[in-house]
Amino acid sequence: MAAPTSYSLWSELPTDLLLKIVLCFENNYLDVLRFRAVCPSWRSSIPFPPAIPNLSPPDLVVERSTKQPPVVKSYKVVFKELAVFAVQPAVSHTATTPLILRTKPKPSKGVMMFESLNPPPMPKIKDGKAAAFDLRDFRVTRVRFDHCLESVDGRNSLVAIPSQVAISSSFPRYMVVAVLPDYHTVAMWRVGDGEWTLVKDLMFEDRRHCRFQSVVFLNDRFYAFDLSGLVNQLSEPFVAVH
Amino acid sequence: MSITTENNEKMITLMSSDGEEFVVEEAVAAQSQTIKHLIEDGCSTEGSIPLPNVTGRVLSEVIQYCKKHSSSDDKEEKELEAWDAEFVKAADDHVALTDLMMAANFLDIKGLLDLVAQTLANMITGKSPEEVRRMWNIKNDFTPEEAEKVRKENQWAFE
Repeated sequence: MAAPTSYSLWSELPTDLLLKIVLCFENNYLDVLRFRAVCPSWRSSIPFPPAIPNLSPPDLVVERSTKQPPVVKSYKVVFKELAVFAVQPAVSHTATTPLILRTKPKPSKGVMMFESLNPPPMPKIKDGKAAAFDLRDFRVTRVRFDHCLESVDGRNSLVAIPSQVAISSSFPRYMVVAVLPDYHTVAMWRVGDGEWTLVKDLMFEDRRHCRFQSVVFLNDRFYAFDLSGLVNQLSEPFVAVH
Repeated sequence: MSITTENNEKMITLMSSDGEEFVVEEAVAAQSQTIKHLIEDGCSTEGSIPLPNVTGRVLSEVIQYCKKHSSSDDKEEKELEAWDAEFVKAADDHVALTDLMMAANFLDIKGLLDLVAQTLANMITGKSPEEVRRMWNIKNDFTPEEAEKVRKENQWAFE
C-alpha cells in the first residue's frame, strides 16, 4: 500500500487523468458503471458508459453477386450482447463459488437483466417481486463477451453468430466488423456512421478470394479468418495481408 | 547548473518542491518532454531546474524510471515491460500512485503516465466500489438523492 506521507487525495486527480484510467478498463461497461459509483467527483468526471445493446446500426444492404442479375437485400439489424460474468460477494470470510451469470440482450430501463448459469438456478421471484441485486456489493469479473447481429425483420433473415462479429472496445467510439459468409463479404460499421461499409473482392496475394468465417478484435486490430485458416489483418482501408 | 562528467555527458540538476536536488544526465532528464523543452529554452544553464509540483520522494521514483528508459533501446522491449511491472509495484510501496501519475502528467512522460494509468485501472477492475474506497481512503459522500440514482444504475434483475 502507498506510503502515508504526501498522500494525494483522489479528488485532486483532474478529470483528464481519471478518464485516462477509465480508458484502460477492458470490461468497459460494467467497470465504468462501478467506477462512477465510488464517489461524487468520479461520477461527475466520467460520463455514463454507452451500452452496446443500445447502439442502433443502420440497415445493412448486401448484394448476392453470384446470381445474375445480382440480388440486393436490405436488412434491419440489431446487436445482441451476450456477456457472461462471474459474481462473488465483496465481503466474504469463506471462499465461495462464484455465481455465473449471463446478461440478457437488452437492459430494460437501465436495469441489467440476467440469468443464472449455475445449478440450482436462482429464484426469479422473491417476496412477490422480481429478484434483483445490487451490483455494488459484488466483485464482478467478465468471463466472456460476445456479440451477434440479428435481422429484426422476420421475412429477411440474417444472423451473424458471435464468432462472426467483433467489436472494438475502445471507449467511447465503437467499431463493429461482421463477416457474412453467405455473401462472401465483411461489413464494417463505426458508431455514428450513417451506413455500413462493405468490403468487396478482398483477395489474398495469390488472387484467391477470401472466404471469411470468423473475426476477432485483438490489440487494436481486427483479424478475419479465412476458410483455409489463413488470417487477414483488417485495417483501413481494408487490405489482405498474409 | 550545467556540469560535464568524464565521459562528456552533460548533467542537469533538478530541484523538487521540497528542495531536494537531483543531478542526472541530460538524456535521462529529457525523457520528460517538459524538462526537455526547458533545457532547449536555456533554463538549465544557470542553477537547477525547479519542479514546484513534484516532491523529492516522487521525483526519485520518476528519475529511476527515466534512467532505465533512457538506457534501454527498443530491442529490449520484453525485458523493459517486465522491469516496468516490477518498478510500478515497488513505487506503490513508496509513494501514492496518484502522485506519480500527476508527476508523469506534469513532466509529460507518456510511457510512465500510461503505465500508472493501466496499473490503477487493474487495481480497480472487478472490485466493488466499497473495496475501492477502502483501498484509497475515499469518502463516500453522495447525497441521498445521488446515492439513489447510483443504486438504480447498478441494479441487476432476473428476467
